[in-house]
Amino acid sequence: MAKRQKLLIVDDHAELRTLIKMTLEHSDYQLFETDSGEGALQLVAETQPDVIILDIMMPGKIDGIEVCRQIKSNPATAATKVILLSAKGQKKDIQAGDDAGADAYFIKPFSPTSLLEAIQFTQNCR
Amino acid sequence: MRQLISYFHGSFRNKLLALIALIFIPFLLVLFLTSQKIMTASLSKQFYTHTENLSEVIRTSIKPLILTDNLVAIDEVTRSLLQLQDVAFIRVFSYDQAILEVHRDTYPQRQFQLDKQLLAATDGYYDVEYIFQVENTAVGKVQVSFSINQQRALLMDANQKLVMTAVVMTSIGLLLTWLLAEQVSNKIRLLEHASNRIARGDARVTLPLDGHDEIARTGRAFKNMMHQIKEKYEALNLSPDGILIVSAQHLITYTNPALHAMFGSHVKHLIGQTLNEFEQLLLRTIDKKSHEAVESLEDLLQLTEFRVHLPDFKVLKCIKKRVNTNAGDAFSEVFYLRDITHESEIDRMKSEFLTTAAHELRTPLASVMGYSELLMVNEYPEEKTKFVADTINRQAQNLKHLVDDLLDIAKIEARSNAVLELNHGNVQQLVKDCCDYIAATSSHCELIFEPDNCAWPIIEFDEHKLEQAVMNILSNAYKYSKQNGIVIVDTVVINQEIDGLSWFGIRITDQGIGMNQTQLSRVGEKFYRADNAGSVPGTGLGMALTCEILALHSGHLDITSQPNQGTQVTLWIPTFEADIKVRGYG
Repeated sequence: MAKRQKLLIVDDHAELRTLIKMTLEHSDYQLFETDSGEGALQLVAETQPDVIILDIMMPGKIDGIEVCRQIKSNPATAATKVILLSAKGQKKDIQAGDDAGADAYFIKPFSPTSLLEAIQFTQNCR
Repeated sequence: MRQLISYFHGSFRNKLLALIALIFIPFLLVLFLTSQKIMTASLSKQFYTHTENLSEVIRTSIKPLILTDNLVAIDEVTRSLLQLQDVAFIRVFSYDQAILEVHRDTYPQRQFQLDKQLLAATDGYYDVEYIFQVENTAVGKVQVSFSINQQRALLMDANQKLVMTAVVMTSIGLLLTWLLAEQVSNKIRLLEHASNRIARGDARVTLPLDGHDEIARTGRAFKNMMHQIKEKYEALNLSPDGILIVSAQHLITYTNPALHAMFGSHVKHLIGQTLNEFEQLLLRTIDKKSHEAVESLEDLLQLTEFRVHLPDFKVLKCIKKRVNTNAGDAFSEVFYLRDITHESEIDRMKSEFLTTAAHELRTPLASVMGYSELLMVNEYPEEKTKFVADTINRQAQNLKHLVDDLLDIAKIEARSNAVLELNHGNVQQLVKDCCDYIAATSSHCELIFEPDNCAWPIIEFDEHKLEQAVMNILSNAYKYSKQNGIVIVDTVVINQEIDGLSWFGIRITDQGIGMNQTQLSRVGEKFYRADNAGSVPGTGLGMALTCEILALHSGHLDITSQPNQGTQVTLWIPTFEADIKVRGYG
C-alpha cells in the first residue's frame, strides 16, 4: 500500500482552511494546517508535506511568497508542490509567484473542484 | 575705413549728420560757383560798357588827331583821358608807328597783353586795343590799359563773403541737425536702456515721456507695454510652478521664486550661466533607481513625470517651450517644472485603495463561492449542510458590511452626501441605546455603563453618524475581548486652559488583546487589521470610518492600548457651549 500523501493548508482565514479540508475529505490525504508563514515553515520542516496550499497575504513577518521561495530553494524541500492561493490577482503578483517557484497559482475566489483537480495534477507530475 | 563705416552705421545721429553734410556742401559749392560766375559776368559787362564809352571818346577825339598827326593835341587829349577813372596807360599808333605813350605814375613796367580774360589779369591791368580805319584801311590804333584792381578787390571781397556765409550756414545747419539728432538719439537711447533693464528683470527705468512728438508717444506706448510686462512678470513670480528661461545665446536669464523654493536658493546664481549647469543640477538630484536610462535633460523631457531628491522626495513634471526670436532660426526656451508629488501620491493611494478593496472583497467571496459549490456537488448530512449554509451566510454578511463601509467612506471622502444632519442636545440616550444593543446581541462580555451624570453637555452632532462611530468602537471592544471580559463605558468633560475650549468625551475601555505601538500608529489606515486580530471578523474599515466621522464633528479620537491588557478609546467632540462651529457641508 502506497504511503499517504501529506498536504499542508496555510491560510489565516479559518473558514477557508475548513473549505479546503472539506474539499479534500474524500481524498486520501494526511492534512496539516496553520495560519501563518512562520507556522508553515515550521510544519514543513516537521512533516515534510508533499503538497502545500499556501495563502500569500497573512499576518506576521513572512508572507506566502517568502515561504514558497524558502521551500523551493532548500534542496530538502524543493520537491514539495506549492499551490499559491491569493486574493492578489494582478499580473505582477502571479509573476512574483512564478519567480518564487510556485507550481500553480489560484486567485480567490476559486472553485474547490478546480483546486482539487490542480492538486491531483501536480501529484501526477512528479 | 571699416571703422568709419561702422561709426556712421551705429548711430542715427551720425547718419543724419553725414546726410546733411552730403546735401549741404555740394549745394553751397554750386551756389558759390554760380554766384561767382554771375558776379564776374556782371562786373565784366559793366567794365566793357565803361571801356566802350571810353573808346567812343577816344575814337572821336584821337582819330582826327592821328589823321592830322597833331601830336600836341593828341598828347593833350591822352593826358586828359588819363584823368579818367581806371585808365592807367595809353599808347597811340599812327599806322604801325607808336607816336605817343602816357601812363600814370603807379603804372609798372609790363608787357601789354591782349586777349586776356578779365579775371585772368593777375597783375591788376586789363589791356584793350582800338584800331581806327578809313575805308577799310587801318590808319592807327590806341592801346589802353585799365586798372582793374578795384573791381578785383570788389569781386574778391564778394567771394570771401560768399565763402564765409557758406561755411557759417553749413556749420549752423550741421549744429542744428546735431542738436536735434542728439535729442532724438538720447530719447531713443533711454528706450534702449529701459528695454535692456526690463529684459534683466529690473523695472526701475526712466522713459522719455515729455512732449507730444512721436518719441514721447512711443515712450508712453512703451510704458504701457512695460506695465503689462510687469504684470506678467509678477504672475511668473507668484506661480507655484518653477520657471526657467534660457536666452537665444543659451544663457539662463530668469528663474522664478517657485524654482528657488523647489531646488534651493542657490538656483538664483544660475542666472547668466549656461543651461548645462541647470541640467547637471537636475541630473544630480534625480532618483537614480527609477531613472537609470536618463542621461540628459532631453531624456527627462521625454518622461511624463520623474522622481528627484531635493533632498525631500518629489515627483516633478518638466515641459519645454521654444520661443522663436525674429532673428533667423534662433530661439529662446522656457522650462516649466511642476511639483506633482501630491497628485501622484493621491493617485497612488487611490489605486492602492481600489486594489486593496478588491482584494478584501475576494476573501469572503471565496468562502461564499467555495462553500456553495461544495453544496452543489456533494450530498451532505443535514447538520453539515447547515454548517455550510451558516458559513455562506456569515461571509455574505461580512461582504455586505464591507460594501457598506466602503460606500460610507467613499461618501465621506467625496463630501458629496456628507451633509451632517445636526442636532443640538446631549447624547446620553444615544450612548445608552448603543450599550443596550451590544449587550443584548453579545453575551461573552460584561458591559458596565457608568457615565458621570453631570457630564452630558450639549453638543452638536449627527445622530446616525455618531451612533455608527460609537457602535464601531463598542463592537471592537467586544470583538477583541476575551470570554467574560469587562467593557466599561463612561464619559468625561475637560476644559482646555490653553484655548478655553471645552471637550466632551465618550470613553470605552476593554480588557482585550490590545495593540502594540506599531499597530496603534496604523489604526486609522483603511483595511489595516492588527496581526493579532486573527480570526476575529472585520473589514479593517471601521476605525478609518470612525476617524472620518469624528473629523466631520471637528472632533478626534484618542486611543491608548497595551498588548494583552486592553484598549481605551475616547471619542472627543467639542461642546456646543464652547461655540465651536461644527464642520458642515452644503
